[in-house]
Formats: sequence, structure tokens, C-alpha cells
Amino acid sequence: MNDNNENKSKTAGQLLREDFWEKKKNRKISPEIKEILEKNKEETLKKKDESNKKVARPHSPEAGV
Amino acid sequence: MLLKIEELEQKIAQNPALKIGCIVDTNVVFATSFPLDTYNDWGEEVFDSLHKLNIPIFTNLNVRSEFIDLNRRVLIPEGLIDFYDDYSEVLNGEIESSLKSLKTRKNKANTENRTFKFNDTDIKQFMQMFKKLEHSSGKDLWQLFCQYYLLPYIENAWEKAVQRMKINFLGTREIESKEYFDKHPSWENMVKIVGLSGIGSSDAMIINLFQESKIPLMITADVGVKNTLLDFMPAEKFVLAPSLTN
Repeated sequence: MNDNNENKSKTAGQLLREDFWEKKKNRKISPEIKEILEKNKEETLKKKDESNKKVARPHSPEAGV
Repeated sequence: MLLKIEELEQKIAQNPALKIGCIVDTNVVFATSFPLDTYNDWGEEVFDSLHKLNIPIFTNLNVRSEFIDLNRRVLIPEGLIDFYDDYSEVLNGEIESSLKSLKTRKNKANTENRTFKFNDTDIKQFMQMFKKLEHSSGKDLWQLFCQYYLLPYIENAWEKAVQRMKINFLGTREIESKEYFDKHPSWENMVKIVGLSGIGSSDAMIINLFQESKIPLMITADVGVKNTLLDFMPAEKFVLAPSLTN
């Protein structure tokens, strides 16, 4: 049975469902999205690290500061 | 009179006037085209029966923009969850927590057998959040999200639905030809339907189209449309709806 005959025996709902799942299955990772998110994660971690450092270094009264 | 899908064949045998055709609303077209909709199986059964019985299927052009808008409200959260699954390793902060919470809300809707839809506020909230992050190419995260997770599903969705469901349109030419109409649908009658029922103007337009037409059957998966039809429809007309409508 070729594709056309196969499609003729399927209902409208079946064909539309197949289209949808086919698109979902074939979706690809976008290098641009990945790059944005990696950069954002890196920057957030860096900021967090810097603010942790600030908190971790209390001012010494003996240093006269 | 309210019809159930399992009664359709028998009713047509008893009442050949039903072979003239039927009018479908946006919810039926959408439910049949979107596999995750609560009424997807019901919609499939409806169109399968109509095709087997050679009953012409009609709608008006308003349905087209309503259909695209419904798709947008359903495909954006669906795409955001795919996005969450695809990039979970590199997500953090506000985006990660918002997507995580969205997934919980959507799972709850699935458990309750509801089709999960965003409203405009939900969409704008994610749009603003994603727009804050930009790629060196100049595109922001929202633009890229739409390009990968919305456009592929929404473009041609209407054309495919119309082609596969074999839907015909009742435009000005058809209305004026008098083949299917006794009277012209009017703005005044549409407003009267809104005023007497409280339903939206697009729903009222298709109800008015049905009322003024010679077409004896309307199919809807919307509880507001179903109730309004049952309240105002003449006895010789029929409405086909799922047993439990949203």
C-alpha cells in the first residue's frame, strides 16, 4: 500500500494527530537558545558567587574600617 | 433538539433533511486538530461519521481567527514545557522556576481532564521574562522560542484542518445565493443573541448564521454555544455536542 492509499484509509483526526506528534518528535535543540541560557546561567552564578564573597568577608573593627 | 454522536446515523435515516449539511464552530475544529484536547476523540468520531455519511460541513470565516487564537493559547504553554524539558540542564533563576510551576499547573489540568490554556496575561508574563535575554545575533529568547516552538505548529494548521476535515465556507456569496439561507444574518440579531445570553460576539455570529440558514444541524464543543442554541433554536433544528461540554 503506498502513502496515498494509506492516508485515504485514515481519518482526519488520525492524520492531524500524526502531523502534530511528528513535529514534536523532530524538534531540534537550537544552538542560539542554548548559548543564551548557558551565558545567563554563568552570569547568574558569577553574581551569586560575588555576593557570597561580600557576605563572607566581615569588616574587622581592629582594622579601623 | 440535542443529539449525541451515537444517535447521528439513526437521526439522519429518520430525518433526511439532516443531509443538507451541518455548521461547526471553532471548538469542534480545534478539538479535532489538537491531539491533546479533551474532545479530540469525540471530534475525530464526529468528522469520521460526517465524512462517511457524506454530510457537507460548513463554517464561517470568523472561525479562522478564533482557531488561530485558540492554538496560540494552547501551543505556547505546550511549547514552554517542551522548552523546559529540552533545556532543563542550562536553566536557572526566574525562568526555571516559572517553567517548573507551569509544568505543575499543566499536569494538574491533565489529571482533571482539562485542556490547558493560557490567557493573554500568562503569555505576556513569559514574553517579558524571555525578552530580557538576548543572543549576539540580536534575536531575543522569546523570538527564538516562538521560531522553534510555536511557528512550526501554528503555520498551516488552519489550512491542514480545513483540508482534512473537508470544511466549506459560508461567505457573502453563499449567503446571497439563497441555496442555504432564507434570511441574511445581521448585526442586530447577533447583538440580540449576545444581550439575551451573555455569550461572546464570535459565538453569537455563528449562532445567528445557523439560525438564519436552512442548515438543520450545528455541532459545538462549547457549553455556552450549546446552551444558547438549546434556549433559542427552533424545534426542527438539532445541536450535536459532547455529553459533558467545557
